[in-house]
Amino acid sequence: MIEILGPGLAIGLGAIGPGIGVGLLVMGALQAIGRNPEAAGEIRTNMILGIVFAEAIAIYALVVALLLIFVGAPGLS
Amino acid sequence: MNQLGVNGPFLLSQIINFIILLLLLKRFLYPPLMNMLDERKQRIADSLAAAEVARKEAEEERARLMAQIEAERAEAQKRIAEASAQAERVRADILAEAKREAEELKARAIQEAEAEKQRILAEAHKQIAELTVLATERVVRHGLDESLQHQLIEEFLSETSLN
Amino acid sequence: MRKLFQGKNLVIIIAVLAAIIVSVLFIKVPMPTISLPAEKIPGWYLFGMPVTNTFLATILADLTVLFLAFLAVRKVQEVPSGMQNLMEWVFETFEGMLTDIAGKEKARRWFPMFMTILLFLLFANWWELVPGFDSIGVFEPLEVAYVNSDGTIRNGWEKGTFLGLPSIVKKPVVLTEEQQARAREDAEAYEKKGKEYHGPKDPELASGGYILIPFFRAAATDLNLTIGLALISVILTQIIGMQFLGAKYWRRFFNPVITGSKPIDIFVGLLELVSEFAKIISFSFRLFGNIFAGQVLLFVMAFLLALLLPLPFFGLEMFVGFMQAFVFAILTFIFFEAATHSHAGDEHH
Repeated sequence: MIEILGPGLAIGLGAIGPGIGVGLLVMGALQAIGRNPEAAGEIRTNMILGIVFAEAIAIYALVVALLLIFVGAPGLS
Repeated sequence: MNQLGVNGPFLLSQIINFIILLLLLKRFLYPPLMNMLDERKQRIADSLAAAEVARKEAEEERARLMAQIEAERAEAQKRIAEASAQAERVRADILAEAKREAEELKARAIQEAEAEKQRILAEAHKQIAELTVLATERVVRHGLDESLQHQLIEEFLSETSLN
Repeated sequence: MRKLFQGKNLVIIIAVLAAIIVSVLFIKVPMPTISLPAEKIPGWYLFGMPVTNTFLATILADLTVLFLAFLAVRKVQEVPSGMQNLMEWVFETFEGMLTDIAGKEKARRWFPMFMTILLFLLFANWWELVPGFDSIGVFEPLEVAYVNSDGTIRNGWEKGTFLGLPSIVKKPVVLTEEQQARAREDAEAYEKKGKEYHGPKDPELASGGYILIPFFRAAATDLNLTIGLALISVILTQIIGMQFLGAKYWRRFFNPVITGSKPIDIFVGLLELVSEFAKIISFSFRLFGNIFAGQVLLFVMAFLLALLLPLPFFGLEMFVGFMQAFVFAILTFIFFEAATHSHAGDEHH
């Protein structure tokens, strides 16, 4: 049971933070574009970069989940 | 790492693969296209500059021509003004001449008419006097002497005031 | 509301319903066995090394990029047309973007690296979406691919046919405990001898089930590729830092002067050093995770409903494929750029 639960929890909990982070980033970027539509291109590029960094956290969670699925936790057969 | 599928030879082969791709593209793809882009950019800049020069030249030429046309127009204007002034003068002259001649003709005609009138009046005067004498002679037949007759005639004439 | 069920709309609705019914009743896509390492195509060797399907996909992506490059430079014209036009447009757009980030000279200098990563990963990712890419392959008895040297065992599928084509459409085969134990023993015996394990000789086990080993599998779902690229990127970053700053570059790790307080600076330097290694992990697992998850997503959607349902996800994966390629390339470029600035405090710009 724990073998299934572990990876699920890892990615599920790990995605909460980046999800909020990406939401905040896009919110800020869209507000900025709304205020200053001429700078839309630059803002979009920076937004994407920010999203990528936030997403990296979720990727770490994914790595842990994958490790748990395919390599297994030490001590559990 | 083995369970993740990472192992040395595969890793190395992927790295080598990418480096080969990078070198190939760096050798064959990027230089010609980037040079072409640069060249085209340069050419566009050049032709824009040339167009700018040509535009300026045309502008100057146009200004020059405009000035010339303006000058010619002014000249023509002046000529026309001169000509019309002259024409005006000639017209005035002709008019004055004509007027003068008309005046002259009129004066001469009046003079002649006056003279004619005087002549006719004198003629009439004489004839009336003669007719009157004749008429009176016939009426009175020797009743009056010559001097009285003339006196009467003069009176008559002044009364009738044929003048 | 009445208009909704007339003419064209009606035809579309009926077609959608028919597709759903057909896929529910007749097309049963097996839930594929998902394996993290790339599958080795049995019997294929290159310089004594087994050939994996991701390696084939890498070669395919290479060839695609080279082919497009060939089309672009076959006849370079003053007035571009076709592929040359497209490539020039792409180059111009991205070069402008790089110039905005790092200035003209650096943009020109690192443009080949940026563009090669972008093009290569773009096509490596997009090939995944081509039908048949993940589904044409060879059937192998379960054990060859799925009894690993440590004895891990997974279930395969029975062979069958679909529309006359060989397929694995039937229910999964489950090995009994006893069979699994025997396979494990076999594997251990091989390991002791130092040989690679290719499945048990036991005919009973060999007929335990089949799996499909596709000839191609999205190149970025192999960690070797992503870690390799990440290594290239990070190592080149160090080299570029050395080129621009000389030995001073290393001060940012080992002897930075930022706050003036020694212990804090040493700690900051340590963080910098760790972040260089974290870069490798985040680079490689970002790309790998996105593409791998996308692949699994497509598999699962096709498994749930073969027709129509995967369609929007194909669109999503196209976007993700481009985005990940772009992010990998632009991050590499940004790290290059950052490496040329000394923020160790001895140069104040």
